[in-house]
Amino acid sequence: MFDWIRSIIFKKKLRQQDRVSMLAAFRKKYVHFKILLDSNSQLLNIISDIEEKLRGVTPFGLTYVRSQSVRILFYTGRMIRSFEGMTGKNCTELHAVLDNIYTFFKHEDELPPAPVSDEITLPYSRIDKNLERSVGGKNANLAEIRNHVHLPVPAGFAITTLAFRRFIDSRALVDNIRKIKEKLDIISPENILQVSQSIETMLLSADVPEDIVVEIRKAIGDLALETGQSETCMKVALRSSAVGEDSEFSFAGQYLSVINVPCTHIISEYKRVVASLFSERAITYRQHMGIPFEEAAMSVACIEMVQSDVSGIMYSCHPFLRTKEQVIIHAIWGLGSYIADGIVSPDIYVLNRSTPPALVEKSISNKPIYLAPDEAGYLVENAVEENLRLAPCLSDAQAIQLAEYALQIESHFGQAQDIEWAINPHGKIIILQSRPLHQTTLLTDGPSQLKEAIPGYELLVESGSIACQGVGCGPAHIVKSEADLLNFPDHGVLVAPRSYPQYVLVMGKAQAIVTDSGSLTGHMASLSREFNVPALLNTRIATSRIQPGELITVDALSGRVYRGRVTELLDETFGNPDMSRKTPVYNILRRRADWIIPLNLVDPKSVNFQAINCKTVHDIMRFLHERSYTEIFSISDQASDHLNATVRLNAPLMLDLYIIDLGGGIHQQASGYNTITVDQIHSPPFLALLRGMMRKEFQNSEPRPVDLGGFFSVMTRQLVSPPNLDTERFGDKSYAIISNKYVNFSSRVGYHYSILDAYCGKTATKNYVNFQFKGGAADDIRRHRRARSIQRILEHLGFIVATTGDRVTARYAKDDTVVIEDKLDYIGRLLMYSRQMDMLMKTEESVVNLADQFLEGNYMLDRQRNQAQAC
Amino acid sequence: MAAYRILVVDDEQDFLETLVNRLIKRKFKAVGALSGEEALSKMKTGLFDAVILDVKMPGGMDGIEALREMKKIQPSAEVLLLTGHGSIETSIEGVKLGAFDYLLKPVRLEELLEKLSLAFEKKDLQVD
Repeated sequence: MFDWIRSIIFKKKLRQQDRVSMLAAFRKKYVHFKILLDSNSQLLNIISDIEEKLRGVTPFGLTYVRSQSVRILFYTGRMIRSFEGMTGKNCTELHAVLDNIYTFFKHEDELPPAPVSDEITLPYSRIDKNLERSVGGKNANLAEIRNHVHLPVPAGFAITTLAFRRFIDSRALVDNIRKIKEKLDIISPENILQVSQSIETMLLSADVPEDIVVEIRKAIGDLALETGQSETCMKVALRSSAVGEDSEFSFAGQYLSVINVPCTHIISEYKRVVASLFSERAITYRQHMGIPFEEAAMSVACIEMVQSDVSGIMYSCHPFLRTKEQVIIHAIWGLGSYIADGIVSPDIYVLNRSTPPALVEKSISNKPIYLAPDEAGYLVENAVEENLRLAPCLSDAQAIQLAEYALQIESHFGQAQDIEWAINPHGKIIILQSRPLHQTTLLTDGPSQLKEAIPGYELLVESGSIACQGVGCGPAHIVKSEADLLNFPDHGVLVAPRSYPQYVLVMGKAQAIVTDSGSLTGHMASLSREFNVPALLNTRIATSRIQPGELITVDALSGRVYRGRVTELLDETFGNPDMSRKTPVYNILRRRADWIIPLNLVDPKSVNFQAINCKTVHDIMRFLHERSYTEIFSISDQASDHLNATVRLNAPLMLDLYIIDLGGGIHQQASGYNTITVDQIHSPPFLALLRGMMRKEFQNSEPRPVDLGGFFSVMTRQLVSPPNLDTERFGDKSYAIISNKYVNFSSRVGYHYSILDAYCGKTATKNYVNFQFKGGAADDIRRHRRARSIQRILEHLGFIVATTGDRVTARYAKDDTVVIEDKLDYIGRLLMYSRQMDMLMKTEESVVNLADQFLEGNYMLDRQRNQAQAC
Repeated sequence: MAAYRILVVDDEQDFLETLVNRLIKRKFKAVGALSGEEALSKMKTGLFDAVILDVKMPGGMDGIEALREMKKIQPSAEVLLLTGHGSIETSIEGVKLGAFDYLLKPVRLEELLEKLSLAFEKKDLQVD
C-alpha cells in the first residue's frame, strides 16, 4: 500500500520535474521567439518606409538607401538566427538567400565612385557634371550649361570640396564638429540652434590654411584677367554649391550666397558661406531628408558679378500641372533675390513649349522697389521709377528667348529645370543657376477656380497663387519674425506676410502655409513642394483676415481659405502619387526593393511554402514568422501532451484562443486541463486584457457592420491585390503566452493582425505595454484612416504612437500596476472595437468620429453603420 | 532589483562621457571604455548585462573584432553595435557573431533605451 502511494508521489514528482524542465526549455525558445518577432517588426517598419519612399513623394539620398540596406540585412540575419535558436537547426537555405541579397547590395555599393578633383580651385572651362562631388551641384550645372549647352553664364571658378575638407581637417574642426553634433544628437536632437551656433562660431573664427588662400587668390587673378577687370575694382558673387545641392534635394535658400563681394573680402566671405552648411535651417533640412553630417561638403561658386537690370526665375514646365505644356517666367527689376524671398510680386509670363515658344499669358505686377549693388560692396534697396513700376520687365522677344533657353537646358539635363537668370545693361541674358524642378503629385487638373466654394463655411481668403497643391487644416499661427517659429504648434497652419525659406524649420509639422505675398518660383515655394505642405501664396489679405489660433482650412486646390474645419475638402480623395521621379538614387532603391518587398510565399498550406522557395526578405520574414508560431506551439504540444502546456480558452470571444503558461499564469488547480475558463487564469495583465475584450457590448456583435462601399472595397482589394500576410490569415488561431506578470497576445481578427506584449509587475519602471496593429481588408485609404483613428485613441490614452500607412505601433511604459492594467483593459476593448472598423472609414470625418465614439465609451458601431449606409 | 550593468565603448571621449552620464542618470550602472582593448580588459574583471559598442574605432581593435572577443569572455552579455559608419559587411558580420542590435548614429537616447530594454527583457526571461 505504502509502496503504491510512494510510487504515485514519485510519478507526480517526476511529472512536476518534467513540466518544470519543459517550461524552462520552452522559456529559452520563447526568448528567441520574442527577438524573432522584434526583428520581424523592425523589418515591417523598414519595408513600410521604403514603400512610402517609392511612392516618389518624399526625396531621399544614397545614405538612406545604404542605411536601410544595413538594417535590412542585420534584422533578416537576426531573424534567421533566432529561428535557429528556437529549433536548434541550421537554416542553410535561408542563409543562402540572404547571401544572395547581400551580394547584390555589395555589388551595387562597389560601383566606382565619381571622380574627385585634387585641385583647390577649378575654372568653369574645366568642369562638367562628373565633377559634382568636387564642385557641388550649382557649379557643375552652371559649367555644363557653359560648356555643353553653350549658353551665356558668368565667368567664374569653383572653390572645391577639397578646399573645404582641408580647411576643416587642418584645424581639427571636423572632429570638433562631430563631437558637438554627436553629443547633442544623443541628448537632444531638437536642440539644433545650439549645435548650429557652436559649429558656425568655430568655423568663422578659424583661419583658412595659407596654401588654400594662395590658390583662391590666384584664381581671382585669372578671373580678373578673363573679365578684363582690375582685381581692386572687381566684385564677385560667392554662392554655396554644396554636394547634393541642386540635385534631387534643392536645398533652396538653405545655404548662404553673398553677392557684390570686393576681392579683399573673399576669404572671410568664403568662411561665411562654408559655415552656412551648419546653419539651423540647413541642419533641419538635412535631418528631415535623412542626409548625415558626413555627406555634407561645401564647394563655393566664385563668379563675376552680373549687373542685372532685370532678373528672374523660370520653370521649364509647371511644377504640378503636367497637362499644361508651359514655361513659366517670373521677372522683376534689379537683382533676383527679391523674387526668391517673396518680397516683390513679379511679372509673370507663361509660354507654351512649342518651337519657338509662344507667349500665351502675361501678367504685369506693381514693382515699387528693386535691389542693386553699390560701389562699396553693399546691396541697396531703391525705389523703382514711377513710370517703370507697372511696366513689363521683359519684351515679348526676351520672354521667348528665355523660354527657348529653358527648353534647351531641360533637354540637356533630361528633366524639368528651375532656372535663375539675369539681363545685363546690354540686354544680354545670362543664366545664373539651374537645378532640377521638384515636381509634386498632380492632385487635380489645376487650380479649380471655377469650382464653387463649399457652402456653409465662412471664406477668409478667396484667391492666391498655389505653390503646392493639397488641403490642410489646423490652428493658424501667425509668423512675423523668426522668433515666431520657435513656438510653432504641431499640426498648425503657418500664416505670414511674406514667404521666407526660414519656414523650413517648421515644415515638418505644418499642415499648410498661407502668405500675403510670394510666388510660385520662390525658395519657400520650392521647399513647400519638397516637404509636400499645401501652400497658398500671394493672397494679399491672409494676415489681416486670419486671427491667431483660429481653426482654418487651407484649400490649396482652388486657392481658398475657410474658417473652421471643412470636412468635405479634407475628405477629398486624391489621385495617384507621383511615380515619375526616377532619379538614379530612386532607381537604386527600386532595384534593392525587388530583393526586399515582393512576397512569393503566400499560402502557408501550399507545398511550396518552404525555405528553398524564399527569394526575398519578405519571403524569409513570412516563412519564419509562420514557422516560428508553428514551432513554439508544436514544441509544447508534442512534448507535453500529458503535461498540458497548451490549453484552449473557453470564453465568449469569437476567437480560437490558445494559451501557453510560462509559469504562474494559470491557477494550479487547472493544471492538466485541455480547456480552461477565464476564472482559471491567474495572469493579471492577461485578465485585464480579457476584461476589455469581453465587455457586454462586444457580445453577439458578429458580424461587424459593413457598408456596401466598404464591402466593395474589400472585394476589390482582394481581386486586384495578390494575397498577402493579412488576408490569408483570416480565421487562424490566436495565441497568448502568459505568466504571472506577462502577456504576449497575437491575434488575427478579421483581416488585420495585432500583437500585444506587456509586462505588469510591482516594479513600475519595468512595466510596459507594446501594441502593434496592421492590415485590414478595405482599400488603402480606409485602412490608413483606421490606423489614424486608432492612433488618435491611443494617443488620448497616453501611448506614444507612430503610424506608417496602415501600421500602428504604440508604447506605454513605466507606470503602476493598476494603470498598466487599465491600459490593457482599453487595448482589449480596442481590439474588439477595431474589427472591420476600416470598412466604416468612408469619410475623413470618420477618423475622428469613430475615435471619439470609442473614447466616449460608445462601442456599438451600429449607428456608424447606419450613417455609412445612408451615405 | 539591482541596476543593469552597461559597458559603453567608443573612441570619442566626449560622446562616451555624455552617454555614460546619461545612462547613470537613468539609474543604470554604466562605465565607459575608449577602445576595444580597454573594454575586453573590463569584461575580464566585471560582469555586464549589455555592451554598447562603436563599430569603427581607428587606431586599435575595431568593433567587430572586439565583439568576437567579448562573446568569448561573456557570451551572455548582449552587445548593441552603434555606429555612424554602418556598412553591409559589418552588419552581416555583426549578426553572425551574435550582436543583439545594430544602431546607426544619430540615435535618440529614448530609442537606445528601448533597445536596451528589450535586451534586458531577454535576459530576465532567461533567468526568471
